[in-house]
Amino acid sequence: MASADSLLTVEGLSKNYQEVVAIEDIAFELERNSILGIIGDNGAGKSTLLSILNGYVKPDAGSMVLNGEAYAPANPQDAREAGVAMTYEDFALVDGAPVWENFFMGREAGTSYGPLKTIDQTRMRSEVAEKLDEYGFDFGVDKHSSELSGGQRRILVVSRAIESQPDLLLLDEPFRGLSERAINQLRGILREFSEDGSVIITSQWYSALGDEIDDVMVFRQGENVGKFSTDNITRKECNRLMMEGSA
Amino acid sequence: MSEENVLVVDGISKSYGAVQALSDVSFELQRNSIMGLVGDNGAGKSTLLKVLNGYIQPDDGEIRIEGKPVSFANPQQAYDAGITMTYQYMALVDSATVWENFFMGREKANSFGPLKTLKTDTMIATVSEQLSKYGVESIDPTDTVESLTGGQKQILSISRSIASEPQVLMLDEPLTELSRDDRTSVISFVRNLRERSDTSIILVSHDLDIVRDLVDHLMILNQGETTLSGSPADFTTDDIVDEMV
Repeated sequence: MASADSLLTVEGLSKNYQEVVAIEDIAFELERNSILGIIGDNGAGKSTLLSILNGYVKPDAGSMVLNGEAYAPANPQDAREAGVAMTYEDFALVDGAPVWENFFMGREAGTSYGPLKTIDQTRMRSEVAEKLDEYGFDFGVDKHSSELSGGQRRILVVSRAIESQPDLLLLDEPFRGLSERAINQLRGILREFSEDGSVIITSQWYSALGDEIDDVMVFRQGENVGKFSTDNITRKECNRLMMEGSA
Repeated sequence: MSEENVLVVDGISKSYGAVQALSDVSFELQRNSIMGLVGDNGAGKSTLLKVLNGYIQPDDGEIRIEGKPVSFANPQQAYDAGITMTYQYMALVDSATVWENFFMGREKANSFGPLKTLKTDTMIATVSEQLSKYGVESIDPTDTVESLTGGQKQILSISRSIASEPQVLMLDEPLTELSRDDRTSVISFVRNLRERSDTSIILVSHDLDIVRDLVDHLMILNQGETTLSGSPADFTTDDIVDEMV
């Protein structure tokens, strides 16, 4: 039974890829305005769960409730409309386009004159500049994406996802390959976003998740070993659960 | 130094700017043994594998193979010296057969003046022999790779890597995303490989069941330093997780 504070309830979620059990009987609740970290070895099922939540993969069994309503997205568009957004690392950027175009791609701001529309570049530039400034970044809205560092690209992708004001933001290994500075910046964004929505982030290791997370869930070979408040579990205990699967 | 040591790593250090990725790491890999490498995020595992694979050069320290000091400017030099690494399903062509994948780029052929004909039967027989040697009977060399399970693909990838009979084979989490049956098959294959070939193995895995099952010697890295080294039978789970953090 979902609690009043629950944004998402997942019950009995399973997915096989032929003979490989990707996830098995996963159940958990995600509270509103919380950041949940999912850790587990490579192949433990973290990405499969996120792909199901995002409508990219259909589960073989199980059910989900989002915002009090049954949630079974047929595709990522369904998920977006229900308030779930997922970032797909850096490949979602068009290298030949500037930052402001990438930020607004697919939802350009414009003015309509009957059947005609004009794209309002000036407005988009200033809105992106303002938004990035709000996050504390100064990487120039006219720069092409290809000129950005790995951290800047990741930040742009996440900022763009947040711009659609999702209830739930899904990030698969968001810190992988980033500098410490970029990791801290990204963590700052997530902390701020959690005032408005919830976040699920994955990582192989607890130590890579950072201090922002409220809860951690440990996956091992497709199973949910447990979900814990970070006040009640240590990095060492998480490592043990990930590597051995029993307390 | 024991004569049984195939690989000796002596005082390897590597830093990236202010970050000390490896600090005075030493170990010996014995012939016909498997060394397990375990470590948390940023412990230095990847850096160590890259040093041994010739992708990066250490700032300090020495590597010896069969007692001879070696250094690698690139992966080809590491490969030529006898160190190879298998990446998951590395560069297998799904639409080609098992034997074609096994021999890709080094096909056996008969020459008739300027003409060449492939020795297909010889290559099929060689693959069959190689797989049988390590207890694998379930893979037909004439099957296409797309018909194989994940575990069979992994076995094929490893078999291809060891065709050059390297002294050292590095396996980075070779059992991920496999079914339970496939995990059992790959574990059995790796165990046979240790016993029936002259290749010694460095295995990265964070599954303690596998570490205890397969590994002769366990080394834990923590922030670039070796914090535990010895037989896994001598360590409890507490010992292992304590030394990782």
